[in-house]
Amino acid sequence: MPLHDVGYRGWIGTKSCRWTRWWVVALVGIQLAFRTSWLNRTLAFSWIPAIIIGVGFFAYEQSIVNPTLRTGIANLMILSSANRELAQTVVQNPEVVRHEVWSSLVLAFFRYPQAIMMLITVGIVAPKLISYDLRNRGYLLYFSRPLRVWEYMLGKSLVVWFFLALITTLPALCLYVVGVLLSPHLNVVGLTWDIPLRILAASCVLLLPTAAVALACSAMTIESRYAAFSWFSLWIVGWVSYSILSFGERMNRPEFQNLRPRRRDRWMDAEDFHSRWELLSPYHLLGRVQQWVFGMYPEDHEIWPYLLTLSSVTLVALWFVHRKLRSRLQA
Amino acid sequence: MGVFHGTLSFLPHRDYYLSTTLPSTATAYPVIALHGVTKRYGRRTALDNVTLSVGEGVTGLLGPNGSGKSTMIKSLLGLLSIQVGTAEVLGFRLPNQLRAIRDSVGYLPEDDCFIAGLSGIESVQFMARLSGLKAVEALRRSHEVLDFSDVGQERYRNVETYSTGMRQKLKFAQAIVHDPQLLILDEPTTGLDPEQRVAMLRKIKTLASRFGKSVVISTHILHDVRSVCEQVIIMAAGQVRLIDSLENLSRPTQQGITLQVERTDEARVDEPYPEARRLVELLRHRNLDGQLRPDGSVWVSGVDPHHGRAVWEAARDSGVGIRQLSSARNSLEQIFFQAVQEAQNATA
Repeated sequence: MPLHDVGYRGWIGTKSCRWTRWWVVALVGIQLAFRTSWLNRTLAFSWIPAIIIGVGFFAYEQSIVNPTLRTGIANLMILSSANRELAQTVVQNPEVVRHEVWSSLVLAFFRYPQAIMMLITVGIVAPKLISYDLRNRGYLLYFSRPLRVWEYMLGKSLVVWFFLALITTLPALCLYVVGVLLSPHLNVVGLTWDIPLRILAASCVLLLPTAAVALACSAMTIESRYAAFSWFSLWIVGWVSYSILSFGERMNRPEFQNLRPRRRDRWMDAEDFHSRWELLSPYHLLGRVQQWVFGMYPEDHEIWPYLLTLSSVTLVALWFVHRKLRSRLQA
Repeated sequence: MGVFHGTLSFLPHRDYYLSTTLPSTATAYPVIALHGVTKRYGRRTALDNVTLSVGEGVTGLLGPNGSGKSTMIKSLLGLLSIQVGTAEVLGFRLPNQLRAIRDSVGYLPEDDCFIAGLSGIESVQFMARLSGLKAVEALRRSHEVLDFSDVGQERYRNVETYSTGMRQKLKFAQAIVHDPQLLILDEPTTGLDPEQRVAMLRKIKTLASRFGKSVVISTHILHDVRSVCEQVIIMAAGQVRLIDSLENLSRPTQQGITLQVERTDEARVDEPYPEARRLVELLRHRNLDGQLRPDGSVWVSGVDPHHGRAVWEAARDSGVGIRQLSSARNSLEQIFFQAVQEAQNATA
């Protein structure tokens, strides 16, 4: 019993704006997610690649004043990507290609380490978001309050967006700032002013579809482990399907047939190979659109199928979540 | 038809008009008003053209399982969409003013529901914030209502570790945290021990009498209704069978007596009250109007309790012991059973 029980008392006060209740859903979702120790470890771990890319920025900026570093950097660039022309320019005159190098570094950050960290982070956070509410009938508590289904979905999406931004957008922006601070002249800001905007755009490309698909997986079942399983399966199955189908496609190309056996492996691994099967793999689909956002995709008109597929997947996933929640309420 | 027009045959010489705004309505609008509301799940009709109007005070919503109580409650909160008809809660119209309705209504769901991972205090604070209270104020208010709901230090424990009774108290605290004008409580005493049940009913009474809250309690427990409700709605087969004040329902009807007879071991499945039936047959043999009621009591009309010699003699001759003899008064159980039986007969 409390020391001083005042009994029931009426409440008179000012209520917060009624259109911002989704914010409360998001805050509580984030607060709950932070209680998962595995998530905290993953978040800490996911900043390590940023340090490595930061070293890349440092080395590149140093190469401008210290030409002995240029060859090493160019070799590293050739090893990490197939863009030989860019690597050659770095050796000759690195300042000319600063924008391209910075964009490549940030894109590499998005595409390789953070794509995997994103997969793990969302796999930890998202499966519980809706499935727990369905299992414990929490939706009755939510929707007996002034909260609409789309506000609930927005709140839950924000939880996923927050963690994705924490491991991708925020470190990428930090990398940009590090790049500016390490560069010999401040005029780099004028040369690279669009990179932060591209980072934000690439983040949107990543955040919107992944959150929608992750929520759809979560809304599909009342068991969060099945939701997690479907999330990981989606990526793995997409990747494997793409690999198998595109392998066959590459082998049938005349370019492949004309290559000497020693060069075939390199050609098979080349990043600039475009296969229509990329639309099947969420990883490759996202990668292509992000590449386009960073200005690394050669043809603008070729991006439309990717953009359309990504938008369709997002809309279908959101529609599915909405339908699931509505049907639960109507049951 | 969802509305009963006319006389309920089991209540002698009393007309029940269900047009009806219940007595003691002080506000300009009824607390709940439904007009021709129909809700179907596929081919099954859960609410069948229900028209009713509920005033202020504590209203008991009675009905057997599947009678449409929970469907009606969920429809009022906009959790279910109604297919035909109109509904108003506290003067706000569904579905256009749903936000205003949910702002002014506190709902205690029948189902065991909670937000996984939160402690008791966090759960209540969360609901308060969803209702628009600011963070600090929500926390202060949550502590206040948890004190009122008799949730002690357990409030700092994760809700998943709560017993059924504790969860019930927590849901009650969540329902009242934003100080709603109307409380809709779906089975509020489920899972509570007798002491907690009495305490819960007392709290509901306090909220209604001292703080002017309107309360709708959906329950199977008739005793709960008798102890707190001023008005009663009986539903069966998706229809409203009866609305009246408890005071009216408890008033003696016509001259007559009700007999409770002693039970022996003769009862069978097909004949649950053989003693009472024997007595009724003997009473009829002696030109007395005896009727067996579904709860096993015997109703004898036209007999003054103080001049019931003929009844005593009939009991003696039939070998039936009389446990209680009282002036005719319809118990809530009788009214409930009869209403449900009539609904079943109508649907059959």
